[in-house]
Parts: sequence; C-alpha cells; structure tokens
Amino acid sequence: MQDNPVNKLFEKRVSWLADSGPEDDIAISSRIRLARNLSNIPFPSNAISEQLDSATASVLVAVEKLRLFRKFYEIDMSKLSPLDRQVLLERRMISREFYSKKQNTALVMTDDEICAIMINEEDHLRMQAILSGLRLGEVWKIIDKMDDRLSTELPFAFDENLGYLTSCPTNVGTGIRASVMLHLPGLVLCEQINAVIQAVNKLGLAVRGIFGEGTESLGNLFQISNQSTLGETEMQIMDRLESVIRQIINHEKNSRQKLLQNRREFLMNHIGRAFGILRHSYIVSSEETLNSLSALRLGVDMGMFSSLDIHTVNELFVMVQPGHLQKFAGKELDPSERDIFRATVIREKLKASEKK
Amino acid sequence: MLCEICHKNEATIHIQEIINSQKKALHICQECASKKNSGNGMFNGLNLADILYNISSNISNPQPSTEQPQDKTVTPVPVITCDKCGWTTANFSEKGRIGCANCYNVFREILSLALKNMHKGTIHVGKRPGARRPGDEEAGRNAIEIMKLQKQLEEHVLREEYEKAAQVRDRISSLKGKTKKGR
Repeated sequence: MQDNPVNKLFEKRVSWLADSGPEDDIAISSRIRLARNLSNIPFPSNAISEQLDSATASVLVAVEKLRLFRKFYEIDMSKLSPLDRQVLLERRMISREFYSKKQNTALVMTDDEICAIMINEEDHLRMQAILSGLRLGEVWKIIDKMDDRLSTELPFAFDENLGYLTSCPTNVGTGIRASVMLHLPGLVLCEQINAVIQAVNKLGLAVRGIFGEGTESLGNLFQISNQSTLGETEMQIMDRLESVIRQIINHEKNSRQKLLQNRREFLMNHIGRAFGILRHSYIVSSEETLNSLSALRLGVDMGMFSSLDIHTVNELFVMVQPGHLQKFAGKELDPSERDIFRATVIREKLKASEKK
Repeated sequence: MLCEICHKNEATIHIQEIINSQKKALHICQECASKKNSGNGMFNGLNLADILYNISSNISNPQPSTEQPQDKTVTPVPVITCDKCGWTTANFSEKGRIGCANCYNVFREILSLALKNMHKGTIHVGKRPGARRPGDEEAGRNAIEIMKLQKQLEEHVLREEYEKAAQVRDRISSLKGKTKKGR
C-alpha cells in the first residue's frame, strides 16, 4: 500500500509560492497548460470507462518508459478522499472540473509541484508547468520538452490545418493556455481595476479573479490568460500576453506610488488595520482573511514589515483555505469551526515570523 | 450591422443555429459577447454551448433581415453523425464539445465559422508532435504570412480592387509552393 502522496505534499511548502521569481512582488506565478488527446480514443466526454482506462494506462506507461520525471507521484483520483482532492485543487495541481470528476481520472505530478498531468479531464492529457514570478519563457521550456518527449510515445491527435485537436474548439491549434497570477491591490484601491480589465479584454485576453465568482475578486488576485489558441505560434501568444502583463505591472506600481504620495494615511490605515485583524483575531472568515492578506502583502512589498517576508504571506493565502485548514487540523471542521481555527493558524504563523 | 443586444456597436460576432430546420441568427458585438461570457466565472475562454444556446435563447425571434450578405452563402446544416464515434450535431450543440479527433473532419463546416470567431486565425502555425525538423520554423513563418495575405485578398476583393487582389493571390500561391517543397 502506497503512502498517501497528499500527506507528503502537505508537509512541504508550495514551491511556486515559496520560491522567489522576477517581479514576484506583483506577479505571483506563471503557468502554462497544454491540451493533448490520443488520436485512437474518443475524447473523454464521449468515451466509455474501458477507453478512459486505456488512455490512463497509455499515459502512465509512456511517463515511466520515458523516465519523464525524476521524483513524481501517480495518483488514482477515484481512491482519493474529497478532502485530499480539495488540497490538490487549492495547490492548483488540479482544476475544478477535475476535482469533481474523479471516475477514471488520474494525476501525475512531480514532487516539487512544478509539473503535473491530469489524465481524462476534458482532454486525455492536460499537462501544466508552474513557476513563481513572471517566468513564462522558462515555464514554456519545461512544458515544451515534456510535450515533445511524450509525443514520441503517444499518438497525439493532430491535424495539418487545425493543429492539436481538443475536446472543446476553444482550445484547438496550440492547445495552450498561458496565465500569470497578479496581485493588484493598488489598482483596486485607486479604482482603476475595471478600466484595466476592460482594456485587457479588448486585447483578446481573459481576466479572472482567483477567489470568488464572476466579477467579485477576493484578495485582489487576478489571473490573466490568452483566449485564442489558433493562428498564432506559442511564442506569439506568450509574447502578447507578457507585454500586456508588463504594462499592468507598471500601472500597479504607479498606483502604489500615487497612493503613497497622495493618500499616505489612507494607505497606512488600510494596511495597519488588516495586520491588526490577522495578528489578533480569534474568529475570521475566509473573505475577511483574503482581503486582509492582500493588504498585508501590499505592506510587505512596500517595506512596512521588516520581519515578515512575502513568501510567508503567499503561503498563508493557501493555508487558510478550507481543504488545507482541515488537513492541518487532521479532522473535518464545519464553517464556524474553520473560522476559529483559521484565526489560530494565522496568529501562530505571524507570531513565529516576529521571533525570527 | 449593429449588435442585437446593445444596438450600439458594430456586430462582429455572428452566430447561426438550426433547430428543426428553422434557422436562427444572432449578430452581436465583442463587448456583449464577453459580458455574456464573463457572467459565468467557472468557464475560462469562450464556451461554445453558452454562446450557441444561452445567448440566442434570450432573443426569441431575431428580425428576418434581407440585407445580410452572409446569409446567402450559409446553407442549412443537416444532422450529421461522426462515423467513428457516433457524435451528432445535436451532441455538439448541447455540450459545445467534440466527440473525437475524426469529428473535426465531419463537422468541419459548422466549426469553421465558430473557429474564425474564437481565434486569431484559422490555420495552426505552432509546434507539431515529434522531433523538430529543420525548416519547420520557416514553414511556420510562411503560414502566418499566407494568413495575412488571405485577409488582404478578401479586403481587396470587397473593395473591387481586382488588380491588387491578383498580385496578392500570386504571392500566396508562390508561398504555398515554397512550403510544399520544404516539407
């Protein structure tokens, strides 16, 4: 019996949050995923159980034969508890769709959480690579190589004109979705964020809040990604995305500077109160936590907290989520118990960082 | 043509669907389409089923217009079934997903309009499976150039600039010849 890999993961820091990367005060992480299908098996939504299992087997055999990864886990998703699946979702190793699918699905992921392959999500393979900071070029090198090697063992569905064939026509062609997670509290406080979102949408890129549904965005975390996957090379898609991201980063820096110059007390008050809540509450909701963490992160970026480093705050964004809280507590917690436990975890973590 | 939702912007997205041999058309602008799309935070990207059904069901009966130039070229789509996996046009419309790799050939005509609206281009110019061959990069550049020229060609034809169109057409065929030799 194999040990539960999620337990092992849980003991470690999330690498894409704990490592430093370029521009990581604003760009938290860069991620690329590629959608690929096997040409000889119907796409997952139209395949029967035996076909899905044979897709899983082919991918796992290829991964092992190629020695694709040095240290990795193979996880049968149907054998994982809902809580463990939620932990993987919160660490962004799996998608929401994959989280709820579970039958005939498997996950291959590296020990360092940089690479992952979801098997039988919407497509037979959804591979991803993720690094901290703004590093789309490096992420591309990793995933491009992974894809090249897999393609020597697996018959990927490919058409001369349409490129890689995918279950949804929105992904056809390159099958690429490149995204960067940005922390934009300055633009939100200056009420500039909607203008930025609209401008980005006009350029054919998508903006999504990381937490919260629709337009509401808790924690001021946004994910910017490409929409079009056909008619441009992967490089063109990433260059276009990166140039827009760099502009947004500059706008964010300007708004922070403006706030500091023109509304200094307002800004200090906003950050100071957030720190007070996080450091001293005994009951704190997920919403209040995410928004306060955002303000705290802004304060750390601006050098207001000498003893706190940004990665501690980054990690708290993941640790305070329901799956991680319950895993940490070692038992199920109802929402009101979670609010109490969340406050405890944050207090301890902030206290520990003061002693350093 | 103006957008049928906001009646302000030029309609750039054209959606057609056929239910029980009745044709419905919807012409909307990018902004209304993305509004429709961003209302649902779960989906990233344009969801085909959403666009095909939810939007058009909001509009019960679009005005049958006589001055839509595109209508002349569109013929009603019969029910098609994929011979490999059994996926039908109804499955496609309902789920917005494709059944298997072969479906892309079977549903090519229905898909071509949707793909044109979703993506920057209609031809794949990115990487290919397997080891990289010398010349791939040049072929990719040519494909991009061909796509640009084809757009120019369409514009020249629309403006009835036939001489310019002929020049562009010649450049396209010479580029296409190069690509074939290269492979």
